[in-house]
Amino acid sequence: MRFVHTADWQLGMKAAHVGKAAERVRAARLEAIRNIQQLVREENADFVLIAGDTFEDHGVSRKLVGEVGDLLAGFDCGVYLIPGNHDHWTLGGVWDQARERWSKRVHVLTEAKAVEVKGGWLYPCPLTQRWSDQDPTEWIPQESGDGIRIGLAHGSLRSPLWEGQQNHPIATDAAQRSGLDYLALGDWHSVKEVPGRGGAVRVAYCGTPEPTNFGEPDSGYVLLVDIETHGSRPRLEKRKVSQLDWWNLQAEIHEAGDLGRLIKTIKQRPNPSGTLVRVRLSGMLFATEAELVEELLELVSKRFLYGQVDDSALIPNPKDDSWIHNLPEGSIRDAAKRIKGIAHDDKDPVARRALLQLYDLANGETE
Amino acid sequence: MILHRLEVGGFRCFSSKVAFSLDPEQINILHGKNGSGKSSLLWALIRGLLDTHRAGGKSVEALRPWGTDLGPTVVVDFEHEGKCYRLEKNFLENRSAHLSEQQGNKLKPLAHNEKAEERVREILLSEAPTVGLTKPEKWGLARVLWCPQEHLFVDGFAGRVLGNIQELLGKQAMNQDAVALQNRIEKLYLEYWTSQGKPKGGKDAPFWMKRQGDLPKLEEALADSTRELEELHAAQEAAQTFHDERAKTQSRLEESQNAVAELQARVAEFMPLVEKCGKLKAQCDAKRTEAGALDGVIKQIAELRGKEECTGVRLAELDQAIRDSSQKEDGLQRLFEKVEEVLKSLEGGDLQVSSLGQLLEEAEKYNAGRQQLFEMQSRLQQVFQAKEEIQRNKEDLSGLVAPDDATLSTLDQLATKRVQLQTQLDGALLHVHLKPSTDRSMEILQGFPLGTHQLTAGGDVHVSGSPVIELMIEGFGLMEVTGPASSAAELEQRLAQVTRQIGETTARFGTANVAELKKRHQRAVVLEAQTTGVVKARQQLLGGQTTETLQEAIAQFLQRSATTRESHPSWKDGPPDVAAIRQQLEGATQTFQQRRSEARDEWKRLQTELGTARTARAANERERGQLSKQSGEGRESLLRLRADGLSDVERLQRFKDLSVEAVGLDERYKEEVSHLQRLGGDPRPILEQAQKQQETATQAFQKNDRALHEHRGTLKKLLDRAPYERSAHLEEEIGEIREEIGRDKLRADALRLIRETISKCEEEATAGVAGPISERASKLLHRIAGVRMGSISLSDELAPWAVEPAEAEGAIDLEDLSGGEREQVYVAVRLALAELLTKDAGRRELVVLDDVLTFTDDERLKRVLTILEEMRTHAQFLILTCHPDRYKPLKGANFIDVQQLRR
Repeated sequence: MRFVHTADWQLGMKAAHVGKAAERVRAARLEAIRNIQQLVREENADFVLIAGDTFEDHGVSRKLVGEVGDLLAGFDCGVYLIPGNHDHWTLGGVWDQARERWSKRVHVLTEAKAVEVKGGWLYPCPLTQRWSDQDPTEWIPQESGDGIRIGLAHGSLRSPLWEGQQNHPIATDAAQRSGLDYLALGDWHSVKEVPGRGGAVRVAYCGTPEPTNFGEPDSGYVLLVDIETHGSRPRLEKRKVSQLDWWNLQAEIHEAGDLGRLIKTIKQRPNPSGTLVRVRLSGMLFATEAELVEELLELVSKRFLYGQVDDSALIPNPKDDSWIHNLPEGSIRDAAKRIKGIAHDDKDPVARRALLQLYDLANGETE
Repeated sequence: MILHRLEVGGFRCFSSKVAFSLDPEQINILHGKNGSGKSSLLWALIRGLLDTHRAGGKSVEALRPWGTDLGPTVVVDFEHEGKCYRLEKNFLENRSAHLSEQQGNKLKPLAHNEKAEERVREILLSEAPTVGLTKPEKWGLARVLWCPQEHLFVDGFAGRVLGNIQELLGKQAMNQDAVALQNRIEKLYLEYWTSQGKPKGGKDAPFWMKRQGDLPKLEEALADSTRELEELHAAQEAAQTFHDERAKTQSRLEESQNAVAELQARVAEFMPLVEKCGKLKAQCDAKRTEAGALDGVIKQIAELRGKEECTGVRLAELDQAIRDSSQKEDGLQRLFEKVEEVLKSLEGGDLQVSSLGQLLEEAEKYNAGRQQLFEMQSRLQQVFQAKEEIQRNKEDLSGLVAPDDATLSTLDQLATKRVQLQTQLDGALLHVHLKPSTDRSMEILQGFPLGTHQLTAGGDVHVSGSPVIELMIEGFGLMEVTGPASSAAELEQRLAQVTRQIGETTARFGTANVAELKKRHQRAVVLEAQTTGVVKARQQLLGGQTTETLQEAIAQFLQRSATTRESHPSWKDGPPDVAAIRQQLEGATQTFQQRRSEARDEWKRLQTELGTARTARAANERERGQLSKQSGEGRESLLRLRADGLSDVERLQRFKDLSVEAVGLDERYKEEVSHLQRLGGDPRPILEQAQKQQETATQAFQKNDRALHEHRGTLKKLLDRAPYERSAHLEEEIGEIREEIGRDKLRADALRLIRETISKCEEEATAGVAGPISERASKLLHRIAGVRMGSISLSDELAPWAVEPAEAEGAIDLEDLSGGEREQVYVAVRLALAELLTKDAGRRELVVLDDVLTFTDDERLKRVLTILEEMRTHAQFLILTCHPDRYKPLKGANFIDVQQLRR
């Protein structure tokens, strides 16, 4: 059998951290579904498995639910999905609405009961609570038979490194324990293949098809899974489906010119309208380059879908006093020195800004 | 700025125009009386140069001359940096301001209205007023150099003037670049903040504040939608609970419905059987009842018959018993009557006992009477004795001849008086005591005792007399002794009188011896007392009787005794022995009582026995009566019972038949009952309970169903509102706004930091200004007032606040100085500043002092004038005063008489 393993669509999620781009970010997540549709078509997948968190919350609009239903109905094959922890199965939730309106080809599996699929059996582990310390895969029986056995669950693989209580913890040997050929997991937003006995990967997270934030490595994918027969080693292929590019950029400024080079690099980035960029600056700010910070701010905010510059770790160069000496002698110069001291010693953002402001004013630039 | 000319019209006391010119080089003295308008002219200058022509309000209206509607006008000709200007200003009416520059003979207009005023402010470094007239703190240089009346007090300078001063002291190079930069900073700063450092408000509020104002509503909306979302989540959880609950109640309802159906089937089978059993039971009971009734009749008949027989026997017995008891009664009655008679006879008493009793009584009486007789006789004897004693006492008393109490008292008094007189007389008499040493004769010629007396040697002779004692003593001669003459004679007379009285009083007693008479009196008293006692005793003995009655009583007793003795002759020999008689009586009494007691006992016994016999007979008769009645009733009952017409045999047979039938029915009934029991007992109570449970389960299910339905409705409403989506949009919007606010606020805070830091640096720089000014002003003060007050202390704003005399330990507050000294301190400071702003600045400025040295003495005033003279070279002075003569010492001063201006 061949199927597409996806999860954590988080449709309707809020994106306050990207300002005006929030709506676009949300829309991109729906676009990603279309990309998956395309992939399914191209690869002739037998079915699609969605391992939970299709929706971000039960409180999303009916319109969105309808839209998603239409999208899912547009798949060329059956779609099997389970409620995750964000959209757990509950009375009056999104799945009630889905059941009323969605196509019958979209199977919302709300019971822990084996379902026959093309080429084998599917063992869904729907969540009925937002939080639980129970392993949702425990019910999967070990049965004999020829068909390929696929588990579909949402939770966090048990890890001794985890601090505190894990939500819906799943045993790392769940697949082996239940005699599954493959356990399709959702919850983690990055792709993660968990090698088992003999190095075979029978447990995997597909990650979210569209990143939800900066700093999500290996996200924006689905997994295309092939399994020949029951017992054979699954073949997994990571396929990109995301619409947007979340570019997280760390830049350290050591010398004059670094900032300018950074700006150049950023300008060269392709597809800025589909890119969200976050620039974290650290190091020394040279007085002569003070206006470049403004330029950078302007660049990221105007050119890209969303841009953020964090220059809190950028401190004025303590040795760079030339411009201060060019200030009129007297209280203005004295004041500039003092403000520089505060900016450097206390790393006060107001003082840093004041210094930049003073520099601009001194050089005849007013805002 | 140097003032050349001032023209004023329609201004306070100047309804008509007045004008005067000042000497730019000299000290100008503008003088006039109080109220002549000196200060008004200065204020006209101030208002004209510093206020806006558009100023209005009460303070401006007050500039009009009283009672007029004239608009104040001011025309100032002045010079600044080598150029001459004219400023014409009209207030209130035809408001306008015109600045012209003097070019030759012509005036070239330079600016009008606000622009004109702006240029003037630049010259004076003053600031525009916000509303109304310009306040002194905004006068700029005029604040320092011009001192209107009562404005001598300096509370500090700030702003551009201070900056100017600082500049002059070389503390800060206020070059154009710095000023321009500072202005740019200020301008940007003022986009966000007020000059007091508060965020601007209203329509001028900065972007971040305005945006901040958008937040509360959004945050509230976010809170609402978050609450709604939480409500939704909670409602979903609750819905699941409702659903589960509904399922449970539905299951319970189904169970109860099944149970009810089952029980109803059982009841359907059970009830007919119950009915059948009921019928059988009823039939069986009926038979039993009939058989029981018949059996009862049979038994009753037998019983009645038996009873009848017994009753007959008993009746016979009772008849016999009644007869026996009647006989017994008769016998007892007879005996009882006999005993009763005996008893009656005994109740009468025993003669012997009574005669003995009587004898005893008489004997006791007799003996008592005798005793009484003896007693009476004794009393009579005592009475007679008492009588005799009384008689004797009376005789003794009459023979005593004693005085009574009154007489005795009189005698006492007379005797006492006599003694007193005697004593007095003795005292009044002359006394001669002779103790002759030889025998001789003496004749008493006057004195006592008169006559011739023989004197014996060694003897005592007393001679007394009055008023003279004359003695013819043998061998001596005549001795005459004299003394007080008058009293002895009187005393003798009185003595003789008293003696006579005594004699008369005691004449009847036979003696004049008072002591004797007292004895007699005492004795008489004793005799009287004795007599009284005896009389009382006699009366007691008589006991209210007389002697005759007592004697008569005795006689009667004697008679009675004699009579009694005649009845008892043996008593003549002696009184009867009462004890013996008593003893006899007791014996006889005892015997009699015993007999009587026995008779009484017998009587009681017989009475009791008789009563018992009668009671028994009565009971038998009652019983007989009852039994007769019962027997009659029994016969009637028997007749009734046999009314069915059956014989005894027939009746018995009928009873047996009924019994058999009843047994048969009973067996059939038991069969049916065991059948019922096999069915498990009566299911109706269980069915009833099951139905109740079903009802309860139905209600519970319906309730849960309704609740779930309602909850679904609530859920649907909540879902329709898509709270998550709403809150997501709101969060994003709020996030965006906060970011904008953050950026703008950062800019605002940065500008504020810049301004505040610059201001702090300026302040620190200013602190270095006060020192030099203080030094200058102190020097001037020393010149005016001497070194006593020491140095002047100035604040950072150059306001004097104390002096530091060398003698004092610390600073002395200006308030603690005299008015004149304080005045001089302020003048010194102003002159020091004026010096700085003119001499050091290298320009001439107008310095105005309006009546500022009113408390300064002439000596010190002279010193001030010297200083003014020195400063004249670099400053133009205008001094207003009503004492022009004080300024006469000034050389070349220009005196301007205000009075003259009006003419």
